[in-house]
Amino acid sequence: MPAVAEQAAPDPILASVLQRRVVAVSREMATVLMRSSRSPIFNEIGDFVTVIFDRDGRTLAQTEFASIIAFGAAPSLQAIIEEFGDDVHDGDVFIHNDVFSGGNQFADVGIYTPVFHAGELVAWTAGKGHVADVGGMTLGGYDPKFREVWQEAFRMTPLRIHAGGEPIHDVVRLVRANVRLDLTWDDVQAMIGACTIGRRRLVELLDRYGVDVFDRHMDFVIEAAERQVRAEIERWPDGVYHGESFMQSDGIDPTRRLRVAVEVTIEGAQITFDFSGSDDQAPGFTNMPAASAIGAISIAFMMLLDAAGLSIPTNAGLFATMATKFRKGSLIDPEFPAASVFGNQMCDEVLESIMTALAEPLPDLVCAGWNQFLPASLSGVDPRTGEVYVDLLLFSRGGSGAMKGTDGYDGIGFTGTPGSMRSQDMEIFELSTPHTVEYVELETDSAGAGQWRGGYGTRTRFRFDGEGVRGSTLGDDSEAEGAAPAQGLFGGADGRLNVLRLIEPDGTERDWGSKEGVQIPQGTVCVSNHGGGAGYGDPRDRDPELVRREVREGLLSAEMAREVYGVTVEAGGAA
Amino acid sequence: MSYRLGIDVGGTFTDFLCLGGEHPLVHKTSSTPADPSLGFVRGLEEIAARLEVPFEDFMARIELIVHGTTVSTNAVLTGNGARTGALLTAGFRDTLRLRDGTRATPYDNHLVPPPPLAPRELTHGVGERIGPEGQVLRELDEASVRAAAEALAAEGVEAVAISFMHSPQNADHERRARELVEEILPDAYLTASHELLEQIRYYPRTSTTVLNAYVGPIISGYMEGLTARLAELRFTGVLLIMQSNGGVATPAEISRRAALSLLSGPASGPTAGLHHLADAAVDACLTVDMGGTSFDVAMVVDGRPVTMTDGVVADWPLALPTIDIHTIGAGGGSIAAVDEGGLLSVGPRSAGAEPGPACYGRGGTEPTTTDADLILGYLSADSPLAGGVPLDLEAARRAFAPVAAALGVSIEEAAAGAYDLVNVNMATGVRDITVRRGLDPRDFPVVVAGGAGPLHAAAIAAELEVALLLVPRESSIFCAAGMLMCDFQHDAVRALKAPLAELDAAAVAATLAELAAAGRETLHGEGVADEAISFSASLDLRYAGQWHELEVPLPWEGGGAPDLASMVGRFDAEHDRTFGYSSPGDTIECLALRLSARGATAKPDLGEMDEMSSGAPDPVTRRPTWSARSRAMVDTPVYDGHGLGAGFEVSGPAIVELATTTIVVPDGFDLLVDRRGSFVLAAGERGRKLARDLLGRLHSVG
Repeated sequence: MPAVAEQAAPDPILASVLQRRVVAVSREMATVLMRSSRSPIFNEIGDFVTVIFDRDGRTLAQTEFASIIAFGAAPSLQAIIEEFGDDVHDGDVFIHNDVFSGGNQFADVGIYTPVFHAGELVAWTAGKGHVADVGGMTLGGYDPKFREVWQEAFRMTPLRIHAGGEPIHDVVRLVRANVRLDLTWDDVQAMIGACTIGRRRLVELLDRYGVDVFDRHMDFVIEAAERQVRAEIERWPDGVYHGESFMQSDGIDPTRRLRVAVEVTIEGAQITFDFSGSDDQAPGFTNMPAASAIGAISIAFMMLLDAAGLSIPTNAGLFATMATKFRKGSLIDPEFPAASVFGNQMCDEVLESIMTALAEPLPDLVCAGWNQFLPASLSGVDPRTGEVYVDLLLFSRGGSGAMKGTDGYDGIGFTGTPGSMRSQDMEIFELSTPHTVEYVELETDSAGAGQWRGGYGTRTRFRFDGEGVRGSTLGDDSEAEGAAPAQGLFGGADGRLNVLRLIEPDGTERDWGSKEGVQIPQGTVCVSNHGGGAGYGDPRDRDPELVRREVREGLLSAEMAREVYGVTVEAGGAA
Repeated sequence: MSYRLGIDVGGTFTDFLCLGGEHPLVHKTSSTPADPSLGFVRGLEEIAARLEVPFEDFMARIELIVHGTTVSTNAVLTGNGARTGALLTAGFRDTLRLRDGTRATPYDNHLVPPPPLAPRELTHGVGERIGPEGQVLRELDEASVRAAAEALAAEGVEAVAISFMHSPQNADHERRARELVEEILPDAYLTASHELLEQIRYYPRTSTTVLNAYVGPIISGYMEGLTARLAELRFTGVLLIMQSNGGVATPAEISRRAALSLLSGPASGPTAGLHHLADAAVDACLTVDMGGTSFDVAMVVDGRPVTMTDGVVADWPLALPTIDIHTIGAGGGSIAAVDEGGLLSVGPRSAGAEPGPACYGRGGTEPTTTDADLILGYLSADSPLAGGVPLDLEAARRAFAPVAAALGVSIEEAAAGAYDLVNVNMATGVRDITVRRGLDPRDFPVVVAGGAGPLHAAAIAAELEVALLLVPRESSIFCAAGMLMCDFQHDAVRALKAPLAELDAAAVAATLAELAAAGRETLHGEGVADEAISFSASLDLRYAGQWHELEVPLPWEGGGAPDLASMVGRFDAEHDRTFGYSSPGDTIECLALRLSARGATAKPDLGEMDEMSSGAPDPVTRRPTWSARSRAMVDTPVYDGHGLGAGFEVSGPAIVELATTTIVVPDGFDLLVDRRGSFVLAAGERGRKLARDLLGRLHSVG
């Protein structure tokens, strides 16, 4: 336990105050980044994070929109620190995206700047976000044809792009020469701007308090978080627990089902997540880099802590007693040079396996399975402007899993950004990229039944008006592929699966697989229905008034109310 | 002799400022939430009594009442608005329910989505579709509109919102649907989105339209009731309502655009702040207002309160221009706690007004900010904050004892920690609002309001390195005073999507002339004469590919062609200021044209707030207060603020007590009194220099 705290006798009040200030700096960085970026992926969807690390790369504070990236930001910095050692100087800027040296996904590019005070390295500021293109063989960076890392992206192992406050022009030119879109570099500039603001604010803090006071109190803040988490996990029943979750299709064979399995060991305050039992790595891109898996495990862990009533600003102390184990060469942590751009999406499987494993010891904290997200990336030419566009389909969304006492959240989407990633506004979607939307609505009866039901999913239908459109899905839970649905808990029903179909102008109809790149003729109509989340507890125990209300709202059919919930509702009332 | 009154109805107190007597008269009375007009009228009776004027005479002699109300805000917060239906484009019925896909806290699986103000069973998709360029993709299915209206009539709705996709590009369908609904529901309160804001983005526009419908019958009903009651009392003057955009409007206008009454109360704060500095030719400031349960920050730049179009009321976007007021839940009632890890936090839990802080002796046992203020000697047992209730120091100390024990420090140190932390939280709020605009808080004087504001202001300023603060003598009824300073204001917006370089100056001029004519008509209807009317135009611009727009002023003199040529340079400069970079030469896109029509009102001189003596009176007493610099309680002089006249100066530590607030002057700060009796707090050498400049200018005016 924290002997350090006693030796150095930090002031707990000053520690509390400094923590607020450091969190505020990360927030200011995020505000600057959100407002200054040009890419809709950053500023409309919010697929990025800002982080402040100490000199050793321990997280001090972060502002996260995309959780899966947030918790994956630290391993990249470790790689930079290992690579450059003492060769880090004031005014340097580093860039990184390589998944075989700590990256979570190639398209999630990280910018890291050291913070010096009086000639001494004290901290790092970082911005990391999903850029529109990182080179490789396919615009946008998603393609089920990927078989190896070099096809996926231009790999940036720890790379210095600014020295002494100035860009290193030859290096910058090399990087820019290997990505398709200027937009990517605008986003990099925006991240550098945010990191610079963060660095300035930290230097102001260090001017005021000095490095020694800052360090000791940041240690105290991290230890305080650790103490809180320890106290909580010690209340969790010791034991070894097993859970699993399935991914359908490896992008090559849609009938192939891949198993993600976890063994969770709770021993005192220590909790270990061991994914060694997962299937061997896949031949295509459905592999999960270690940094991405650590991100996914952290999200599940944060949800458990939150359900237990802990809400602590994120820092390294939260994860001090959490360990992860992966088997090199398995789906989680594949061997070099495997493709892995799908990895972030496997957060859904990681989270579900952990929740099912811990359902028995922690029934009050776990949630049932979330609908597994099935988004797509798009590129093409907008006939209105003649310009190339890139976009993501994110507004069709499934429901989250229920938990004890609370229904799942409707239309929330992906576990990797559990309610922090924005959908496009429908008018903006049609104005800025060539699409015509017919409907986006909650789907009746889509929620997994239960005493607490899953969140409702959505049904959407829209037309592709672009020319030369290419779309790549990167998701799961496809009904046509026979996927395993989100798992219900304690008698709750499983979630609903996803339907994704393309209706070409000549009337040809086909299913669009969960990991499939397709050419989409202009005028093709897309039907995308996302299923609801899984339920918790026996539906017959649900409060009948809630059942009746949802029939009134048109979310639940009278038949399902009667047959599944055992509640008879007279007809009428639903609009 | 005639009277002018600013009346701000808040959750706990109704504040009055009455001008026209010998001195401006500050009055507070308890609010009556069930029927706010009761407290309103009772306060008027009390003021008449204080002025020793018969009530009937007093009412007959009031020429103007400007009123800020929380009626509509409370209706939204408590879910007690009108029974509201909505007609949306078929296929988009769940626009409100699906929000923008996010939830407030990502890891909290116990979170429940906010229920839409127009419930799903009262929300109908009607057949129609306009495309993004304004083209009709599907004709309006009038039968489906009628069927929906019939269904809503059967459900007994009181209000209907109509919002169709891309109506900013073509409002024909909305207009026709409104006519059809009106035929079937002649008595319902109807709002079509194009009437409220012709602004792209379906979700926020729909949300705003539904908010307007939801509070429309509420605010209209309140206005009718209040107007009738005032007429009974022989009031023949003018009643104006404070709008959330910082301007005033007649009851008829606010009834039509009801959403503008949301957040109406605090909207006059920035204008009040500016008023105190305008004489000294200062045209920018921050205002902070701290009461029992919340802390509001707002900003004035270039002589205008800063507005936003991305406000939120109880989870729902409000896209009308509103004063950018950043509220954090940090007030006197915020509760201090030590977590299992050993860190101290203050808030977000609050003891509120009931049971309130432990020292109020109303059953509260948890340690709050007000308890800390008392322990630290900033408040005393007989301080006026609690409305005449003596404060119980022992209860405050008992409440803080567990916090002190958990931290291993003295009770005073624990209270000082809570005081520091709440100040850091508030400073962060101030920083947020400035940073969002690319501004540095150090460049602004801070005007301080609210009963608890002056207790914390200097410490917050120190945190932000702000050198100059001003505490108006009427600080505790700040917004009521501000209401008498506000102009009429009506904002209009038109979607205008085109590259800036391709905008047709003649077409823009025509649209401006059209909007100006509408604004002028509204102002005429409110009795504003032509010579008092002015306009300010702006464009929402962004670099092509960006998704957030900046509103950039468009030079236009109320007629003729606008100066579009200068907009490129203006946008680049504004972008650089806000985001730290610009991209000269890149394509700039226009999204919207805005026009504000203002009708100037006569600005009263507040003059001297009450009798002020001059010179430097002695402290009335001394008591120990916490010194952040010495980390100990130090002996501190306490002054009666009412006795301090223009020219008075004292260096901290010192305490100045007023009838409704207490000013803490810490070590390192000086306090000076200006000619109006306002208190200027100056930090260090820089602050002293700024304060002398300011006072010099103020006094040269006087």
